[in-house]
Amino acid sequence: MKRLIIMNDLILEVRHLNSFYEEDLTDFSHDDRQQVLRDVSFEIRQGDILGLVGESGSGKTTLARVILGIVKDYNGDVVNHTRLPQMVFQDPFSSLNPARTIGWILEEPLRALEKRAAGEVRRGTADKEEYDWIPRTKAERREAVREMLYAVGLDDEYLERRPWELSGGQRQRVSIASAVITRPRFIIADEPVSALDVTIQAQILELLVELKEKYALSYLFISHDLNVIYQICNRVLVMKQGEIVEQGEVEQVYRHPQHPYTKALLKAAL
Amino acid sequence: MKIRNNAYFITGGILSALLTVIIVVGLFWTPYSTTAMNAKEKMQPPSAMHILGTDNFGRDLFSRVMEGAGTSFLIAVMVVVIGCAAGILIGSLCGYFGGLADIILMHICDTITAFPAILLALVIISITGGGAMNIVLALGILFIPSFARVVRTEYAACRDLNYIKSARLMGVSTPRILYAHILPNTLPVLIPAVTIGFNNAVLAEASMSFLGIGIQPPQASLGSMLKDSQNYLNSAPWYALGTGLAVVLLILAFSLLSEGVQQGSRRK
Repeated sequence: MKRLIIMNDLILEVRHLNSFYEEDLTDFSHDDRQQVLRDVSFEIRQGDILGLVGESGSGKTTLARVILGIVKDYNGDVVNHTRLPQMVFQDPFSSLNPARTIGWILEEPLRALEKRAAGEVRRGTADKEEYDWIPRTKAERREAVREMLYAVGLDDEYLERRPWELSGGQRQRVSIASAVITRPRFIIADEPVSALDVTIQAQILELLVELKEKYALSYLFISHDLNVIYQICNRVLVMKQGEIVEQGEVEQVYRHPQHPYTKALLKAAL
Repeated sequence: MKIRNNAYFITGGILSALLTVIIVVGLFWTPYSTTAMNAKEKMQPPSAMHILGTDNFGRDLFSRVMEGAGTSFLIAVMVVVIGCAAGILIGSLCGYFGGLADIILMHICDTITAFPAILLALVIISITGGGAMNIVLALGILFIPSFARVVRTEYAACRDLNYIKSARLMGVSTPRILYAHILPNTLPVLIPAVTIGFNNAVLAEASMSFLGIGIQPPQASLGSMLKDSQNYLNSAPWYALGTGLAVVLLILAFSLLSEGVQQGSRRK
């Protein structure tokens, strides 16, 4: 039987999501199981750059972890319509393995994907053609890595370098490359420019938009910086204490904020 | 740092290479037989014929040192291989997964460390009996905690770093995360642990043979030769000196080499 594939432009649906702190096994006081996410609902469509804004501790990163399946303690629905969503982290100094070369770091996602694809095809959960593009020899992988390096504004010269020889911006470019090289349709970027200085920030944001067009990506873009969200996102979620207090088109939300918290955030940013 | 500026690496490297050559040659050929006794030549001071002199049986000491250093070296290497392999296995699983097993295993390790190693080795040897294989096993087991400890610490520190998180997201298998992603990051602490372990193993084997529970005659080891030599400290000081010097050189060479490797791999 052929699987029924519903073709639409939905990337991610989140419905009535509640999540709680993971319990600490060594802590026997069961009294406060703290709720991190409260009745979160939203969706991401093809081509969206959905901003997620809120102060520290509001549950932004937890939401990302639930979507990626790292946090499993939740109820509600998270329907991911894409395979293998990827993540770009804030700290470009811990997101690359310091003991490996850039070339190895970028080849590794392809090796992992090759194994995973073989498993999926064997189990019948994916069509073989879907993964035909995966480079299978060392030379093909190197070629794909080279191409990706150029796509993020670096070149072959970086193949044999180690992460600690690179600047923060260059490292973030490599992190982005390692996320995009597996050809995901959806990437979660958790504060991807917050650790960078302003000029590098602008370059990385530009790169993210460029890659979105080139590889038909959609982003969930997490940031505490309203200016950054304004520059790059088309829609925005405003989060406060685990709750989404406002969502809509960026222009709309920024010009006519409804919720007092959004108004306060905007006032603080300008 | 450039290799030619790395004094530790150069001296350590030359010394270790020299000793390794002497030891490897000693496995197949020695200037004189290591067991043949010669009553006419006993207790001779160093000379052109016998550069380290001869012992109480008239055996050539240089030949004996060659063989003894080989024995000590091989035992130390095997001890470190056993301790290091098991230590990496235990340390990586404990550090990466944590949990109850981690707590229990690490407390066992602490308990073993709290005992003097030689004493524990004595207990094991008195149960299993002597012989090179038993010494290797006893010391190997005793050396596990020192490796497990440092490896565990590194794994526990790496476990939650973003590059490991993203490896998990990519679907990299757990064994591959453990040994292709994290293990290379433990090398800066593992290499010194290996060389210190090697030195301790040389000393431990020497101590055990010195106490008479290690390598049995007529096979030579540096420890058993030191034990024999103490009876002749006054009449034949070169016996103890030559043997002791071999122990010192062996340890010094590999310490220098390790220091050099560390300096060379230090990140700017």
